[in-house]
This record gives sequence, structure tokens and C-alpha cells, in this order.
Amino acid sequence: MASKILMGDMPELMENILNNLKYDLNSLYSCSLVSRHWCKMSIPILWKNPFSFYQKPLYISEYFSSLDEDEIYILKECGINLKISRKLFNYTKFLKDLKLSDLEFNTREWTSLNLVEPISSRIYLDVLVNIVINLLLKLIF
Amino acid sequence: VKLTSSEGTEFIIDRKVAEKSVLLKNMLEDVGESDMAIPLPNVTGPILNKVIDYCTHHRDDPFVSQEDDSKKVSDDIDDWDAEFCKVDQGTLFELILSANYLDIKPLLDLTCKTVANMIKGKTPDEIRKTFNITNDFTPEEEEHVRKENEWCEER
Repeated sequence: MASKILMGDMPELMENILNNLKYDLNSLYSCSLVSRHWCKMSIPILWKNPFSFYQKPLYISEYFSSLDEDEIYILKECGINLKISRKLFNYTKFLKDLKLSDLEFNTREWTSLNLVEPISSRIYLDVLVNIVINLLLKLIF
Repeated sequence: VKLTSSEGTEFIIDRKVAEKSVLLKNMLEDVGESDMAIPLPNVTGPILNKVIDYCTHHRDDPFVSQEDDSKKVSDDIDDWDAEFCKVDQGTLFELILSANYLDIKPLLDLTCKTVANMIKGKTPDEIRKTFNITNDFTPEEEEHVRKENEWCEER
């Protein structure tokens, strides 16, 4: 029998356990795939500040699933291809302690990764990155 | 100070040791010295014994009250504590529940950290096997979770 702590009783104790893993991306990711309850408990910790992990910032696409149609259109006009689908969680609400420099850096990388065609003009890229950051900030705050 | 476990076994311990538990500390402050045993219906004898071991060993530690989240990394367990936590899983989870009930924060953090170390570096399936947890995701749900968190795999 698994302990009731790991099955949904006393979530604050499970939270204490998982908080020890807050810098351990791989372990948290594993936890999220164990069961429904484990997923519910580990996702908020995993998504607390994804910008602080040195990953490819693909998580930004997950945030954008809650954009409205006009905003998706803006991105499309900018040459950014985005597949929108319904998500299990509203990931923006878990975000805490975000550093603006991390946000800038990762959004730039995300934008470059998601352009349909690469852009050579640095100035144009800066403009795009700013548009993306603004959309993101609107979702976060 | 006299304590009785859930089976009615009596334990006599120093007040200083008992005061590691915030629950007991507050009780003792409210009631004052008394010959009456304090009943702990949620804690069994063997577990209470372990808890007393812990509190006795750490009786002179300074009291840490605030959540010191910054210190929470799961490697810094000293030898005595590590040895103390070498118990079967059932006992370990009982200790967590008792530490929580008795409000002994350092013991709670230690035991939770020990469980976290058992999770560390494992695949989802290994975690399920370790703790005997059933995967109650539908295949679609599991796929969704994997997809939405795929970025964890992309360095």
C-alpha cells in the first residue's frame, strides 16, 4: 500500500517533499508523469519559473495557448507559426520570481526558433521580440 | 514530562526534549508542570520512540522557526540524521505524519527530504514501483502531460 501522503491526503506534506526537488528539472518532470495526483502536485513547482532552467524555451508556446484570436493573428503576421491547442493547466498562473533578463533572453530564443523563415535584420528581430514579450507579459499579469 | 502513545505505553522524557515539539511546548506552557501524562492518540509507541530519539539527539540545536526555503537542497543531511532515516518506508511516512502532528519542523523537513532523495533521478515508472503508486492517467492525459512538458527534455 502506498502511503496516503502520496495519494492525495495532506497535500501540504507532499508539497514539502517535492519542494526539495525544485531545482531538479528531470525529477520534477518524472513526478508529473507518475499519476494524476503527482501531476497536480509537481506541475506548479515545475512551472514556478521555467525561465530559470537552461532549457530551450519551448514552454513559452504553452503559455500562448491562452491567447485570443486577435493576438494569434498578430503573431502570424509577424511570421511566427503557433499551433494552439487546449492545455491541461493554465501555466501562467504558476509563474513566480521571474527575472526580466531571463524573460528577454528566452523570449528572443523562442522567437528565433518559431519563425517560419529566419530573419537577417537585427532591428526587425528586436521589434518582433518586443511584440512577443508584450503578449507574454499581458498573459502573466 | 509524561507522554502516552496510542497503545497506552508511557514515555517519560525531559521537558527540554519534549519542547522540540511545538505542539507539546505550547501545551506545557498552557498547562504548566503536571504529573498527568499527555496522550498522543495519533502516534504509536515505536514511532514515538523514534521521535524521542531524534529530539534527544537534537535537544541543543537552535530553534528554527521561519520557513527557510533557501536552504532546501536535498543533499545536506548529516550522518546521524541519515542513519536515523534508514527505516522502512512505512515507518518513514509514519514519522512524517507524527512530525507534522507534533509540529517538529526539523524532523518533518528531514523526513520529507529523505523521501525526495528516494524520488531523485528516477523515471516515472521507477517512482511508481518504489512507492507502489497506480498510474491512473488515461493514455490521452498522459500524452498531454508529456507533450506540454516536453521542454524539460530539450536542452
